[in-house]
Amino acid sequence: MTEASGFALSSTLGLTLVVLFGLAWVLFGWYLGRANKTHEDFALAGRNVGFALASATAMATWVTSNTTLVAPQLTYQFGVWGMVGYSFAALGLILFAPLAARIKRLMPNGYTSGDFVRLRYGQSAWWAFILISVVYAFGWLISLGMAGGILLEALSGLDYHIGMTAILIICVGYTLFGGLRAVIATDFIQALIIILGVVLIAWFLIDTVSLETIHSEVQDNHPQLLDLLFPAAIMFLFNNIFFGLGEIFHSNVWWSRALAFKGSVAFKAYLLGGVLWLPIPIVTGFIALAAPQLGIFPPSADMVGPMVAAEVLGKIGAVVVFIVVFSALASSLDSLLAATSDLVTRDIYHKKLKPDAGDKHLLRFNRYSILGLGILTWLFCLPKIATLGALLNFAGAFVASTIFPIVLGLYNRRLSGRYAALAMTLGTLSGLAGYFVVGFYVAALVSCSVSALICGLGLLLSKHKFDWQQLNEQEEHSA
Amino acid sequence: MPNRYGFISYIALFLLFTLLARPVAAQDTMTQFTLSAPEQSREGYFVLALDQAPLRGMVVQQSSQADFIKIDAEFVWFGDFEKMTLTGFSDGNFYFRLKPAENVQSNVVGVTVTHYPSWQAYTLFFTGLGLFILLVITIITLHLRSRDTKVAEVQDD
Repeated sequence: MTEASGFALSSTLGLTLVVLFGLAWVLFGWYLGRANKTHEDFALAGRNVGFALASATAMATWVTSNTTLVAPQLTYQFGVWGMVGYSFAALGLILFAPLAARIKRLMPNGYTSGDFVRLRYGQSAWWAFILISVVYAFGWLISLGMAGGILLEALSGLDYHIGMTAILIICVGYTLFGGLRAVIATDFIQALIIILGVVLIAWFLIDTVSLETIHSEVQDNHPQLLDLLFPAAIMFLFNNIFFGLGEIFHSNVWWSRALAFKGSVAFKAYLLGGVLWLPIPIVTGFIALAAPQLGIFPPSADMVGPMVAAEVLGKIGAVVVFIVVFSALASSLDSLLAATSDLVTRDIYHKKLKPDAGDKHLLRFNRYSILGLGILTWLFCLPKIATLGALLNFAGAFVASTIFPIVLGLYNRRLSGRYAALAMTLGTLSGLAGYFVVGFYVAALVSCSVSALICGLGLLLSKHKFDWQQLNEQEEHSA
Repeated sequence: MPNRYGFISYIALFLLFTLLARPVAAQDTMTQFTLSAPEQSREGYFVLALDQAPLRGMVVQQSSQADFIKIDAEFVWFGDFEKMTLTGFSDGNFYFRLKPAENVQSNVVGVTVTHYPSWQAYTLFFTGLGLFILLVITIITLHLRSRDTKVAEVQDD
């Protein structure tokens, strides 16, 4: 801690790190972006991503503010279950592995998850799906922007708005230049930084504050954190799993990767990405349990991770924490910007507004979309509206309703568009009711339950038989 | 020659101001903080907030009694933040105040922690478990069934 301010880094050092880090990523994005010649190059990296890059991007994209800031937050709030429960989000990547292989096989020339829903279920389901996707994308984008601000504020006392603005400018910058190619390449480097950094922090923490002292302090003064029958934590457990599944199954972030990966790489890449990701929330969450022992009681629960790490490791540690968390945030923010701009360009602009748009026109519009999304996110981030955990779990009410419609839509011909639309709409509304009446830790579970029930009814009652060939839509232009 | 009454009046006023000024000056060094917290918590965590920036080394005291006869725990206020998140509380009434010192005083706030009933937690847990098992079985069954078929043959799924 610096004597004067009580923060691990001085605000000057914090700003210097942001500028250096930002310049490096933007230049790298520009360098990689020179290979992009067509819209397909920009949006899907030429559909030629190999196994190593594929696994790294799957893992790094899933290591985000969720893992580096929210996992410690939920451990601080829900104790051991918060930590273990969070790691179960890896199931999202693992269970998406077979779906990714199926997606690649059914839609070898597909672009987005929106494409699939439109072709498989029709317009009404598409509208419900797009609404869910937009709410989720903005919820996640805002939480990532906020996390950048919270990180810098926790480490250096720098105003929240400066950190938030900085991470948005950096990620918009290199995604704008490099497209998905830059996103995947930076993800690979960021994945290495994250794994090394997290291991380093945990090792130092156990070395500095022993497990025995952490345990006795928590047991004496915060006993609920060690209670395996902690009611809110038990309620949260499966909610978190369904939230993670909903995020991955519906989001174009993961679909665009499945479509960009080479041949049969998708299955193995998602499986390995999930297995690599599994221990990370355990490590980052464990950090939070040391907070009471160190006398750290954060102003907001989502600041606990970086504050503990900085306290234990001092100035150098704070720099390591900064680089790790900033990498994690950037690896997700860039992916989300790229995937959401693809969705806007392909599903809304190209398919609804300008069907005759040429390749160069779409490429240009895609870049404008990234810029526009960045600006909108910045505006939404200005007021710090909720804690990260609460904000993310609000989106859980939306995304969990898509799990069964997506799974059944990929494998079963009988579920019709009407039932899929109803499942997503009523699932979301029920999830929101759960969010406001009970709490954020039941939203996804309620949403998924209602959606599953309607899908089950749909399978029983519908006589619809979908023709899989309809998924191979012919492009209207090649210019 | 100055007016005697006027001179005495000035001296009296001077003494009056000086005497009045002493308690005021002493009060300047004492900071009265207003502590606030939610009345209820269902998860065992909550945020204590101050109405102004904290002083260095300030301590929050916790007691199960509003008169603080017995202090159960003390938490040092961290950094320059105006909020502090406390966590891991079991069911019960908890009272908080800033540890009285020469220069610090605060009000007392009470938080009642009432966790969700077990039946509600278990109902949601087992609903989630059942749904999750259903989903995993669905994915594995459908994937194995479709794994070796080509797209054209998928019509028969």
